[in-house]
Amino acid sequence: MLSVTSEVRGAHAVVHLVGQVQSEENEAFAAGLAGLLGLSARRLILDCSDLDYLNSRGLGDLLSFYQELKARGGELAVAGARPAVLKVMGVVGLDRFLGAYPSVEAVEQAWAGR
Amino acid sequence: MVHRELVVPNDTQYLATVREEVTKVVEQSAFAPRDRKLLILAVDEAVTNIMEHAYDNDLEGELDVELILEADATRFEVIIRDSGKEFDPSSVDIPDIAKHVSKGQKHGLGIFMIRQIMDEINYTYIHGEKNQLQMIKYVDRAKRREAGGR
Repeated sequence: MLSVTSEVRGAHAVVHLVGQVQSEENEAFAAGLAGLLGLSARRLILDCSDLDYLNSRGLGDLLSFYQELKARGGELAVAGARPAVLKVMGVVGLDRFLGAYPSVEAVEQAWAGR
Repeated sequence: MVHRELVVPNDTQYLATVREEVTKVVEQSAFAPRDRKLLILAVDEAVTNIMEHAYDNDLEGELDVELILEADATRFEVIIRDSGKEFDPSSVDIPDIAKHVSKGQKHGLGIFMIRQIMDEINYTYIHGEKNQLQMIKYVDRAKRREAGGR
């Protein structure tokens, strides 16, 4: 099971990923990410604190989404990722491209005043 | 030691069954929670690759994938056998993953993940019969990496 929900907080939005990205959820995950491109905010924080599993196809979809968002002038940060999910992101260096923060609040502090 | 054997049709709807069986084995292993998740993922990726690429589309669900899973205080081992096309995942050349990713190429990530997670990947092809993939991860190496912050 997976849910992708977002809340706009001023100039940025927090995207909550809850559940697992397994083969059964890959299509829903890709669709959920694509839907985020319609948000008014272009700076997004991916709250991964309740994301339990991310497979390679999900990782690929996340990479594509990041590239699309970046091409539109957007910015993406990962917050609160659990160790296994962080390791998966680290396989392709996604944690370094995006910046991996311990919490949503930590990203908001880092982005404050920008 | 825990030992389980499993045979599933070559259909991705059975991946959940595969993950459940691997979970039962790794939960009785000496690996830390993070590594247990990664072991489930490595097997998931390997079986997904077989189900999606080893067989022609019209054979979906018609043939079997066999798994032998073992764990003890020192290691986790899985042997995966299929009768699909010959394919050695350890031979796939991914020279520069950062460049690969920056070009927007997504294929090969699963194989790359498996290589990052597992300590040993041994492939055998019995001509005209079966592919056999053996993957092993050792508890002590995982602990050393964890202690080193990796």
